[in-house]
Amino acid sequence: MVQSASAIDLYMLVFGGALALALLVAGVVGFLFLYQKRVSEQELVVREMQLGLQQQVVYRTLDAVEDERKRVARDLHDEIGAALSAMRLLVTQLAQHTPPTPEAANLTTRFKDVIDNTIDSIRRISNDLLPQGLEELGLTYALEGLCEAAMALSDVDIELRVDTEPALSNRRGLLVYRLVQELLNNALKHAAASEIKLSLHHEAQQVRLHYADNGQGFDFEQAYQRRSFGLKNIETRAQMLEGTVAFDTQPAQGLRVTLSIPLTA
Amino acid sequence: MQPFFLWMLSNGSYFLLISVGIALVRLRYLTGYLGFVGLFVGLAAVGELFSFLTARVLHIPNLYILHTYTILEFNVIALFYHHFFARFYPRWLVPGLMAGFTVLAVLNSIFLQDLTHSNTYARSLESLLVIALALLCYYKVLTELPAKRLNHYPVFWINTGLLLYFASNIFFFMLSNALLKQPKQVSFMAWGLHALLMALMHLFIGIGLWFSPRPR
Repeated sequence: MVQSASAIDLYMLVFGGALALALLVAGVVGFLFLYQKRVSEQELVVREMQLGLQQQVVYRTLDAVEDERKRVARDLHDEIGAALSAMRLLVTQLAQHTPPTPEAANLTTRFKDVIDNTIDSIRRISNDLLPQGLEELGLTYALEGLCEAAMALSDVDIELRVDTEPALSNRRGLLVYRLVQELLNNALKHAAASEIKLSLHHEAQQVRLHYADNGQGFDFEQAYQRRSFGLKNIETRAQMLEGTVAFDTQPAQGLRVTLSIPLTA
Repeated sequence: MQPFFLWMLSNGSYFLLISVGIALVRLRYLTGYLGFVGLFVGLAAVGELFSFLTARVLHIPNLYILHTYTILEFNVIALFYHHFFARFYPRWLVPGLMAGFTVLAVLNSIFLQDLTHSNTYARSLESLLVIALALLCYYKVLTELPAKRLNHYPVFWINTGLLLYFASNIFFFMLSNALLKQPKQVSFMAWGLHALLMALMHLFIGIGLWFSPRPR
């Protein structure tokens, strides 16, 4: 009896030991799986942070570019523009003080023309750098100017509809302006469109921009894979607005773009 | 199966050469806490050598070696964990365990299991403490995520080897009394299994030492 009791003890201990060892091995394997899972999660977090940081760098760079453009536009207008206006005045005064020989009158006229053309160029460059009236009179006014300038350069008919002035900050208004500028530039350069429809309206807590043209369209997938600079520009600006952009186009079917900008961001 | 375990019982000690060899090859890279692992391997080799000399050459009782070896073994392993833990756990934890274990082991040798008997109580306590330290080590590694590829991280291998051996040790020492009433063959098989686990431990430690990082 004593022997069988000790045999039972022995078998129980051996069985218990084997079970414990098996549990231990399972524990180590479980530890390995858990560790790898945590490492993968951490890598994902780090990658997202790096992506966010890269995005911030791009946004800061674009903001810095816009600030620099603003500065250059103001300097052009305030300094160069003012100097040219003063030159024109001086040339006019010079013509009034000296006897007007035909050659002198001709030269004076030509001199004034050159100055006028230079003033126009400065105004155009300054306007391209900093949209005229955007900060003072709002986005609608600036977009109207943009559309008029585009129509003056080509045979395209642009229809702009804005229900109410969008409640956007100067920075966000400028981003929307640049986005529309990019769309119009692409339409004039590549689309060969004759009609463009632009609309800007409020919907709940967001502003919606709709763009549509009757141009030649393009293969969106191909252009996206080729990392088309224009598309990337539009996407980046939409992201900076914390909005979303959707493209709808096929070859020979024009282009439709919808941009949704949250007002609460 | 039986011949295998009997073979392990006779030759299991030679597996120590794996970890000793790797420790010698990677000696200049064994810095910080890995230095204590190298010391542990060296201590194990010296202990085996003394056991062999006293038992097989001089034919004299040598259980007293086990008493001393147990205390030294635990303290070296504890120093490895103490350095690895750094400030993750309270700094007094491991030194406290070292002091406590040493005192208890000495008292055990004096009053309970003298130098002519196997110190199973001290060995069992040592096993429990090493298991606890190994689990704390796993927790630290899981929290800090120190390496992208865990299979190249030395501490993982060393810690796993120590945990496997000392966890099985508890059952062997619980088994040892029951084994005394069994035929010798059963006893030999059990200790052969013990030798196998010791060999595994040294194999794992060898792998861990092989992955010791080059200093920058």
